[in-house]
Amino acid sequence: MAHLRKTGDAVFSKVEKVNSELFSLTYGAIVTQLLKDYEEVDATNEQLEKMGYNIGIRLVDEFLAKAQISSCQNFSETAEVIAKVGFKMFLGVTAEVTNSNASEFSLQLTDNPLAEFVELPEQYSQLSYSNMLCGVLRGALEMVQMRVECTLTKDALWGDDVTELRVVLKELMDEEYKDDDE
Amino acid sequence: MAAAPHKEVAETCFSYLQMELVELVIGSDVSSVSTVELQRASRKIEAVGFQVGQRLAERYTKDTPRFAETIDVIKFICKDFWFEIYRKQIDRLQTNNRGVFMLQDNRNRLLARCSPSLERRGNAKQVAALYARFPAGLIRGALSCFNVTASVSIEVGELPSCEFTVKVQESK
Amino acid sequence: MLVYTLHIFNRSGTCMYYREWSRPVPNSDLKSNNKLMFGFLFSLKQLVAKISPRKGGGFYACSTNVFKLNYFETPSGHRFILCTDLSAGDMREPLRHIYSHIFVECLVKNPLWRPNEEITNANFVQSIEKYITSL
Repeated sequence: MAHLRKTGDAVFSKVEKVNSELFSLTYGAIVTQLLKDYEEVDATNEQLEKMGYNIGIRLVDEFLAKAQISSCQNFSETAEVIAKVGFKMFLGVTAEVTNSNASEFSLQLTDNPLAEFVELPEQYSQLSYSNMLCGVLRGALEMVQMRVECTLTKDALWGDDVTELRVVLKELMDEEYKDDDE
Repeated sequence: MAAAPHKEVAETCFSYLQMELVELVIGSDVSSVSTVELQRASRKIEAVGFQVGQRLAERYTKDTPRFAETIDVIKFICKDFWFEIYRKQIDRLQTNNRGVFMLQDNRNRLLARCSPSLERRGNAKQVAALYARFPAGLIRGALSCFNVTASVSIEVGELPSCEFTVKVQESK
Repeated sequence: MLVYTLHIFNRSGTCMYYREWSRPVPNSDLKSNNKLMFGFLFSLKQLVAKISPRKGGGFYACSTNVFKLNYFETPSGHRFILCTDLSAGDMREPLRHIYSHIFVECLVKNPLWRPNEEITNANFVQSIEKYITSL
């Protein structure tokens, strides 16, 4: 997997970058705005995931174009590519793949740029603060024919030692072309 | 204490976030949005920018002495602040010396990427104006960090440039 | 080298972009011809995967007596098809360039572009024009 790390580093070194504080503060302000609008945690979690999905279906093309990864042989390889190249080229950090098998894997982050300097107030302790990441993965993977479910299973903001996303493969989508003549 | 290396993320992460923010407040089709909804959307985007601007300004000036005059705050925003965020400075600053300042950014990075489809060319300026609300909020937030209350209005002329008009409210 | 046309399809078969530079035979029925093109390429892809004598599917070009169809498909399902005359060499790099440097830069990163919409954004159209005429 060393070559994937190298790829990730190389791509990240070439992209335009911004201060991660700017990014995390913007993310935080958006979460705050959502909490204000929806006033409750579940709806906010859902909206974060949805926004992430919209980002994912775009971002995947930027990823494919820059990272130039040839197709992955199996789901575990997909996991490694996401962890070492995907995360690195966008968030500047790599993730660790754990608990992976043919249809599931977990991604662990010790460093989460979305949640820098964040503390969850008591009333929002159930918030999946980084849920947008789950949506991004779901959207991006759907564009490459993998329907997945992604959930935040551990969060440093919840007191865990890492932030963890669990990705479960639900379906490998077949290419379908229906000639629907109106 | 050695300064930690500046942590960075890809610029597109910041761009995609802003795109989703705009999408969140106006939904998919600007043309079908009423003026009232557009105004409400503008305020929300500006409010997000305000929060960010305030906190960033706080961070960037933690170890620097207080600014003596309002003009010094404005200059800080135009130079160091804007550079930290957008890797360029405000291109032109004008003032009437009576509390009104005009800040011109000739090339806002996100506005520079805006290119409308033929169908929605009519609404392009409106949508661009929404994107410009975020930096407007940044300015207002940064000002408030130094106890300067102001209103910040925007004018999007020829893309990708935009102009921010800052009207400082005199505090007696 | 003569470039005839460029098509860009998304995964579901919608032609998002079509541009002609030179087409001695006019395109009689754009809509159904686009459908035909997509269907043909889809079937060809499946055929190649089935009958390939060696491991590895995919194709990147096919030629007729009078023109060459150059094909590039992204894992995200976007299909770029450049029809050129027979003197054109390997067009994989140019097609990849169109994807990475024009499609991604002008559309993906464009706040005013929506995925799967017909592409009429000026920045894209102009960049394509500039690039193709430089080939």
